Amino acid sequence: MRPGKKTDRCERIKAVEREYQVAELARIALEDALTQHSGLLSAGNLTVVDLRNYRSKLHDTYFIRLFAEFETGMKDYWTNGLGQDPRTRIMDVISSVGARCNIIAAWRINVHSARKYRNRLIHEEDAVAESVTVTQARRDLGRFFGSLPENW
Amino acid sequence: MARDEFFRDVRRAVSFMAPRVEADSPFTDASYIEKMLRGADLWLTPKVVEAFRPEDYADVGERNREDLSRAVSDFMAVARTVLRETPAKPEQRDAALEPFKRIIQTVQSLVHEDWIRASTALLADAEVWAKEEGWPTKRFSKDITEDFIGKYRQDRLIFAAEGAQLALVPVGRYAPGTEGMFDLAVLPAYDSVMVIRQAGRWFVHPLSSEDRQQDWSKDAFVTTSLKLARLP
Repeated sequence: MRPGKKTDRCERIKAVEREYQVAELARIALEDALTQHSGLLSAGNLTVVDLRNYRSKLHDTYFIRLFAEFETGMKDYWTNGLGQDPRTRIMDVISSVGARCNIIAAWRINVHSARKYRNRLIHEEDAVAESVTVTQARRDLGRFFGSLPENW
Repeated sequence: MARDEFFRDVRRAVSFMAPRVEADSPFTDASYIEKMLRGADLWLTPKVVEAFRPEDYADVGERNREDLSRAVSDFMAVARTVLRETPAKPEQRDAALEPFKRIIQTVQSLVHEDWIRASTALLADAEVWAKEEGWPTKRFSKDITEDFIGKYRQDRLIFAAEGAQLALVPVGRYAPGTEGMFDLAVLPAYDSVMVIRQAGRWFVHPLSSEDRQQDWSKDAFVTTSLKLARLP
């Protein structure tokens, strides 16, 4: 079947993971450069604290973007594919679509784990949610999204 | 290779002045390029065309080759008059602008042609090898936008092996440290390996860090595809 909305979205999710990998390489290069030229940060009016924050938030920033790609695609399918209320919470959208599309239970659980971790990052909810890596999330969200029809 | 170096220098000179707006590909908008080139003169230096050697373009049509040589020589004539310590005068910028725009357009066109040729050959290899393995294949086009060469269309190859759906998907001509990149991925999870082009040759990146990069070959394509297909 000709690639459509589903494939486009899955490729966008993959592209975020790739950007994250580039950002990690850039971080390593920056830290390496700083060992040679410690003034690089201060020249930009930045400090080691800013670098530390950048390092600690890098993964989470990309995780949030990754989940946003998935959420946008899910809401599009929910609203335009299924004709449902766009204000429905993503938690309910995932559960409902999972059931309608007969998505494997383990995949649904993994997607909810990613959602809870995203909530922990941005809403400081689900404080006990376990960490999920960008790569694991890309895999889980891709599998879930890949169970949708190609177009809607 | 001087030709690659020349292409890189031209692209870098343009990059200095263009914002990174992926959506509208400013490098391929002639009026935008003119506007930004008039706004700064970092590009107006002989270094930008220093790596140009006419003999590197034997494969290019005579007319294009002569046009490029003339544009480089016209540009160089002006760039040499700009003093290093002072900004270029408006008349110097105006005189260099036309030849530099011709250089940019020619380089964009040569890079685009080279990339389409190389990526089409890669897809053809994969399609033949997949069919030899008895794997069903299909091609679907993908729209790609890159800063320097703009919008273009290339195929993605979708194929099936051992019940898994796989895809060879073009990522782009400009990926750091490469002259082009594809993803070889298992769908829909998109676990993947990179297929990269360096110094005109294609290589398959390993799936695990314990394995080594392989030359692009039927064996590398088939074994890597099967490894991806068998991922849990």
